[in-house]
Amino acid sequence: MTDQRIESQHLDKDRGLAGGLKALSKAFHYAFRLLAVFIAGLIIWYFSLGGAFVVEQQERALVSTFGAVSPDVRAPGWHWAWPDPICQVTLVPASRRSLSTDAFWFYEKPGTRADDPGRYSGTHLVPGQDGYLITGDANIIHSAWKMFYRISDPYRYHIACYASEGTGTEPDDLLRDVFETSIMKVCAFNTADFALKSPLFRKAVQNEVSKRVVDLDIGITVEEVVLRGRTPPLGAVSAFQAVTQAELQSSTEKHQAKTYAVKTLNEAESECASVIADASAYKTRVVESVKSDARKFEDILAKYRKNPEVVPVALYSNALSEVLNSAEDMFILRAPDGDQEVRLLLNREPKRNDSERKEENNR
Amino acid sequence: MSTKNAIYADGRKLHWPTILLGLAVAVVFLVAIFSFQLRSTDYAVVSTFGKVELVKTPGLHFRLPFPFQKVHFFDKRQRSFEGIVGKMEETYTADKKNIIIGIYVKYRVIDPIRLFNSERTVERAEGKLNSLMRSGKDEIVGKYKFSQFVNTNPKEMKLGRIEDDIKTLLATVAEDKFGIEILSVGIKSVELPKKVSEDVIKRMKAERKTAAEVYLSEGKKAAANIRTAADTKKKEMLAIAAARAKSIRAEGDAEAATYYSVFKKEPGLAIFLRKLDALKNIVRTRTILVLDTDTAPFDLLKPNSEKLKR
Repeated sequence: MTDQRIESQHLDKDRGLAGGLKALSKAFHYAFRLLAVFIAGLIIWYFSLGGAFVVEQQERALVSTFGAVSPDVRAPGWHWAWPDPICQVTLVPASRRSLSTDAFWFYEKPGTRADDPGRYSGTHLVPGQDGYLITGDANIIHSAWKMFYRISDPYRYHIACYASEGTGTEPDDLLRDVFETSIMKVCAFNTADFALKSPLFRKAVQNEVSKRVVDLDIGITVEEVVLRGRTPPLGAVSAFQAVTQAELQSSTEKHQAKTYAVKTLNEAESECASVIADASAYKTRVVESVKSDARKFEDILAKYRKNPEVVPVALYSNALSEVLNSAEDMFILRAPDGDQEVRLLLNREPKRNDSERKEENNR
Repeated sequence: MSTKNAIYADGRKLHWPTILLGLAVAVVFLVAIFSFQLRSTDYAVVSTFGKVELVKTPGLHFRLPFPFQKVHFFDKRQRSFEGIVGKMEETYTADKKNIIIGIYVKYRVIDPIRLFNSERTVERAEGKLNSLMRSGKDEIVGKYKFSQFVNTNPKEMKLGRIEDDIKTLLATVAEDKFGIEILSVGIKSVELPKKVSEDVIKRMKAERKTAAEVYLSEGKKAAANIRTAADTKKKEMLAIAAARAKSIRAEGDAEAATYYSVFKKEPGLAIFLRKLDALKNIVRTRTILVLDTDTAPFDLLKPNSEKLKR
């Protein structure tokens, strides 16, 4: 019993082990198949969608195959290239970019307002802390700038311009140095007045930096340079303001003088015209008067010749009556025939009529 | 089925997909180990036990794995380097004025093997270049006057030449020692020591004060000139007008005189009539007349007047 039973137990055990191994083998088989399907899927994805990439509207793309970049610039949209490590896609910004510099601006103490007198010493400038420019007439000014540029040739930009490690796509150092040198040079060639007042200062800097960037040949085009601020050293601002005020006052005085000149000349023209007109009127009056007198004389002469006794008397009487009517007072004295004396009271108060009297009362 | 899976001698089946997958992985692995990619923007220096070889062509290149070969990459694009050493140091110009000049160099690597052999890395080469820049700047700045750095007269201004001189001084050394080509040198700042800047600000204030006074006096002068010119012009115009008026009046008188000839026909009557007209014109309102009875027609008032007798 015992031997047979033991043998039978061993056989059962062997059968159970073989079944387990078979099940395990089957499980491995399925797992391997699953893995194969997964890997096949990965391979299919890698060679199809794995190489797809999107170039956004504000970007351009360059594709390098085993490191060799193609000059063919990819426009915005969907694209496909062999996936990494066969091909690498470099996205280059195509939008308008800006670069600001405060290298020539004075140091402002943090937390101080623009109108705070304590934000700046004003009497001196600390090298390395306060930025400034020296002008051609050996004066000092501060200015702050901003430049707008665009990567116009992404391929040229990529192969010619070293982009700093931090950003990978920004030509900061090279462009900033060129920008600041351009500003410094334009300023060193011009006067402080030009740099502080003229709108051409900004234009001159823009021209200079554009030319220098073209010379660099790094596929970048400068679009605009903006002068964000300019000021004399703060310690001299009041003196500059006094000059501006003096200029304004001078200009006002000149303007007033010009106004006076225009007014005076207009008045002179008017007076001249009046004088000429008076003379012309005089001429007309005199001539017409004489003409009229001549006509009148001829009329009277004809009558006079007919009646030389009466006509003069009639004319005289008419004239006298006219004269006497218009006289204010009249005294008829007896013709002197002895010791007769006539006394005249001079400077007496003139008689006033009613309207004149009323007017005085109203006043 | 029979083509897909071959059979080993012991009866086991060969699984071709597995074999292919393994081969693919092995190829990828071998390519990764035995090759490197060179970008269009770089040079590669391949060192084999100290012996170096330059690779310039971009693309996939063969190499032995470490430790047999090692690849060093050098960016060949132009870049800018400003340096820190000596940046804020004062430099004396030829006319003994102390200024603080900030310069940068624009360079690119042209001989990576030389660079690799001398300094190994670009950063170390830049450190050496910085020292060269410092001494080159001091040497060249000392040859020029301050007025040649800033000047409104283009003939006096030598900023471009100063940059070129510094570049010439650096270029040979940089290329011979580090395999770096100096493309240009730029001066990006000219500053003054603290005390000098204080003096400049004082001078600027004094100049502005003078300028303000000049503006004011010029304005007054110009205004006075304008006024005087206007007054003079007015006087001239009036004088001309008066002369013209005189001439017109004379013309009138002359023309009137031509009509006087008619009075010659009876001069006595003409004179009498003129007297009457004069009398009418003279005696206007507010005139007080004192007449005697000898004056006609008041002679009629005389007692026993002769006229009444007639």
